[in-house]
Amino acid sequence: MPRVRVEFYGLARLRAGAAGAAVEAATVRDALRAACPGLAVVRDGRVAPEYLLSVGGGRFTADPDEPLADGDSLLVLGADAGG
Amino acid sequence: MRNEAEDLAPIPHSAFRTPHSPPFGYHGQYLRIDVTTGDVRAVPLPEDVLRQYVGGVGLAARLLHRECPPGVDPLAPDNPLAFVFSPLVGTPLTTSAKFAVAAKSPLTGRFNDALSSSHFALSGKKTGSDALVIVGRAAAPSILLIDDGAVRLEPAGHLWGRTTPDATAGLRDRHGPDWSFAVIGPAGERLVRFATISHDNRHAGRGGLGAVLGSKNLKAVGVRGTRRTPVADPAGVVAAARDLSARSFGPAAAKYRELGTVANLLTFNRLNALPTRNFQAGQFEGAEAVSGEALSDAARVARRSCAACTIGCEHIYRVGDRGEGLGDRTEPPATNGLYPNPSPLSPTVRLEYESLFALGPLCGISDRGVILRAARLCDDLGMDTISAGATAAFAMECSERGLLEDTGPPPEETPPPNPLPYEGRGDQTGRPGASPPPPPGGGGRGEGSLPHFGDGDALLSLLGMIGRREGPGDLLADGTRRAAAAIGGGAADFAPHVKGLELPGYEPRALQAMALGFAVGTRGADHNRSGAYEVDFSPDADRRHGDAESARRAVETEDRAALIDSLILCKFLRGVFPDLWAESADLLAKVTGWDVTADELRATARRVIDAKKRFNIREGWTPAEDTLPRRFLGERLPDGSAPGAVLPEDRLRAMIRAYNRARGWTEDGWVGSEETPPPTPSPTRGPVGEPGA
Repeated sequence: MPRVRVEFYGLARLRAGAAGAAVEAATVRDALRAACPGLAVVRDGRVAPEYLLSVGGGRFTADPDEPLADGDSLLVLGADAGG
Repeated sequence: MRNEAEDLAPIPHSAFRTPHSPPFGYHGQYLRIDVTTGDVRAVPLPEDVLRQYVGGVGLAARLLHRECPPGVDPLAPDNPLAFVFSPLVGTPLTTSAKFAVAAKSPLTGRFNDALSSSHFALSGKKTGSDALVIVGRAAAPSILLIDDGAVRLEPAGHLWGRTTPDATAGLRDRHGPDWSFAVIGPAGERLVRFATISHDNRHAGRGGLGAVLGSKNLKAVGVRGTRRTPVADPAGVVAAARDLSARSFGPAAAKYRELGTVANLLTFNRLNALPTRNFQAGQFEGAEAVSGEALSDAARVARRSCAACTIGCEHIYRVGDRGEGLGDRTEPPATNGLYPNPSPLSPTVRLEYESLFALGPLCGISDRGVILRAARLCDDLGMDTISAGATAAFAMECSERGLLEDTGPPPEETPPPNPLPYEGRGDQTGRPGASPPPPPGGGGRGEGSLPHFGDGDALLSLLGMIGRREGPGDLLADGTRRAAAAIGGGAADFAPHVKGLELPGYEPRALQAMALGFAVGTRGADHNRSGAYEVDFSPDADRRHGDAESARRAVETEDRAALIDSLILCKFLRGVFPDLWAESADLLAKVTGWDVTADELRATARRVIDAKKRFNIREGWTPAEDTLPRRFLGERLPDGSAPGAVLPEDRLRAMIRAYNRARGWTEDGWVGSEETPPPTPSPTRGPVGEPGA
């Protein structure tokens, strides 16, 4: 099982009460379930509109079933980047 | 001057009138006030013009085409300054208490619009006009008062020279709480080219509109009124307002409510998109210390809302002393001594991400206390925090590159003998490779030393001098474009501006759709009129390799912003609309009674953007100014999560061509000639939209 790091930013960090968590997970969905089961980042099978997900910071994903590789970082960000 | 001001006669209120049947939501006229002659005219706004441009920024673009003489000096009396309301102002729709301020910018020489909020919008519209257009120059420092449509000037008296909160408090003491005031600080009086207009601790921030008001010898504009505009469907508006308010409490606006935009800082840092040390890097080693989360824990004292807003995005922080770390100190800071004013710095400050990035990482500052003091200082002096921080950061890089000791004279002015003397102490970052800290002993560097990244005292000192136009501050008060031209030595390559407007907190090489938005922005580098970062943060775009599809989607974000800014609603509400166009049409129909559709509003947004571009073309725009500083087109970002990101110039040019095609313009960006431009000013001053007007 890949070992991945889930990082929380903004509201996600506030609500998770932590900056991140190290988990074993094969997909985005599994990583979120393991790192922050109470956060409801995935609702009704989709990424909730108030969140953005990025793998490694380079690319964004809206697919909860996207596979993760060993050493990946999954970033949970707020959806509205402007300010 | 003050004695002269006290001798000013009130401006006579001449023939104020309201059209017989203005559309619902409108008064159907604007008030044109000449503070030189005392002439006041109510100018009709035909319904077709209102429907074509709606209000806010859209109507402002239309009015500037009419009122602004081509080629006018932005600080000349003839440059009109427009305060523009909208049909939604005064309704119970959440976030609708907003107004636009517009003029030809003294910073860019191009169209400039800035939005602000709260009671000035409500009171201003109740004066009986959809817009207030001010021209001329008062004979002495004055306050312009518009009372239910009656207009008069009164001496600014002792308020001239006062900070924005001081001046506001003085005006409220003098006139009472039923007045609302838009004021300038010392920076606006001294024509700092990025001076703001402030109201209720909010600011029409970008592009130097405070200098335009200052150039008219006006310290403030006060409004009071009783004239309400009926809406077409009162019950429908109330129902829509309830629904919208309920949605504003939901997850789409939670970020703004719970943490505020300062939450962006750590996110952008992680994405290598946080402008650091004048855009030399995209990550800042002190980011955690100055993050929104750290600020909230250490210094947040309250959360507030604008009038008629249910989001409550204003996060208020306690201003402490520099370097104290904002632990448990509770007393307000002492008199700051940075400007000639009897009052201390205000004890609290509202902070947004843009102020945080510009006064923090962009200047290499990792001391929260310094950032909060700097933000408060900018607000008190009345300066745009983005341009102020960027100008200070630019000066720091010039200093570190040794460019400040060999400056030539600026094109039209004699520079100060020593370009950037200041009194500063300390490098607070400890950053490897940073410029050496000041020599120990004597408390710091003395007069004549130069600012460096991370030097908090240097930042505070520079901001004070800019706001007063003292010493080196006089040159820097003209913004980075003019300062770079005066300094020479390649400084223009890293002066962080587009069209003269300093860049906000988005690293263009790491966010390349946003880079395009900056390059083509009609008011310059702008994150509020282009939301192209939404493209960069989407799963189907590569933020480090912008392309034609990025450009097409960037156009959509501009169109949405143009609609929101014309309605006017707050962009923090945008996430609650599943279909912005259809829902906006429904809201506007309920207010005005028009059978407006989503497609019509799409055309309206395009019309507004075209009007702004046509204004710029009229004022001398060429395709060459739609670009970015050389730094962004030639230097790679240091490694990070956008490793080695670079934006080659040919890639940016390709995106610009795609953008222009998507707009229906020529590939170079000229607006096609098939449409008739809005009319230019006419001495007859007939109703807007009249043939030949």
